[in-house]
Amino acid sequence: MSAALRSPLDSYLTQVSNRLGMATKALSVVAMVFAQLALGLTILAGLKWRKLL
Amino acid sequence: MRAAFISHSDCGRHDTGWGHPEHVGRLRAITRALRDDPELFHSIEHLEGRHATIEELELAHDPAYVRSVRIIAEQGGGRLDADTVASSGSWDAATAGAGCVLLGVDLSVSGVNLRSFSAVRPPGHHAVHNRAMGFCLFGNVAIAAHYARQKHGLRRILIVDWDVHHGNGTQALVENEPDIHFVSMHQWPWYPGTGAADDRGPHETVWNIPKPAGLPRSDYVDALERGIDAATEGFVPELILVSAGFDSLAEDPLGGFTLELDDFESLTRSLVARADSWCGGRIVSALEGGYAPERLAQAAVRHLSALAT
Repeated sequence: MSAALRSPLDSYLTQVSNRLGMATKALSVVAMVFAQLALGLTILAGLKWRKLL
Repeated sequence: MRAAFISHSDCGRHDTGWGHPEHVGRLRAITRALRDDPELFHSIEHLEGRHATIEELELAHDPAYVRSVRIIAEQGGGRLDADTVASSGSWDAATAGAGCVLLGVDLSVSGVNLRSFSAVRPPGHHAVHNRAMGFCLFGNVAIAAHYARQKHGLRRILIVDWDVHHGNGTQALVENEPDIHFVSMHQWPWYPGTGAADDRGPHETVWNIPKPAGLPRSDYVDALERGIDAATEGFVPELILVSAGFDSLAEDPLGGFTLELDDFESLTRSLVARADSWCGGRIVSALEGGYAPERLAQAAVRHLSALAT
């Protein structure tokens, strides 16, 4: 079925899905940045002895 | 005048386990290395230290914290921070560690042994006012600085810390006293994350020298010498205390500096010359870090050899 023939509900759900995908992507980037930062701080400033990590 | 080698059998009772880098084998390695150098062995005075009193520990630490360390040890030990452990013998070891350095101060001020090296553990330069940190229970050198002022009436004291980690505890325990100047050269960025060059303390009596890992060894030596120059401009110390951390040696598992045995000997000779011109030769040195036992021991022997010259 072509996009033009989809029901309004299908069209709406597609748009919601796209927005959700974009939000998830943005949040993933933020989470990755903070995870690296936390790991770096733990290694450099949290413990003197890395074996304990 | 003979230099003194001070230690205490109780320092071996701080049982961190052989899997921990700050283990009793560090001190045993120093003793072995000293025995392997008969000329030095016989030229220095070997002394058993004493235990610091609770009142002496409280010159730098919160009484409640001091009490808590004693209780934890009495109860068999425990974990004091993420990488600092205590055993049943840790109270006796920590008070002996501080007491050895205080004996070094007494001997230096009285002129009996102007220079000494205390081979002690646990180390001290990370311990802050109210908690243990980074393998350290009590700030041995900071306590010694306050003790020298209170017990012996000295005023101006210079502390030189060449451990690869910033002496955050020593800084915190002395920075409010304008007549104690503190110089620390340390790897940056590295544990404990403090010691930026612009952190000069409330009275600008702190000279932090953060350096990256892996530089040519002369860079570290020159930087520390310049730091000492800056800290003593218009300031003539009456006593020099050294936080002798040998984890700034190349190949130490907990650091990335590139210093060699010769560097510790030359740095020590430089301090001896400075002490001779400033304060009649008074230098009291105490072991801090250094986690490759054989290398640590060789460096300690070279340091002691230069002190004994």
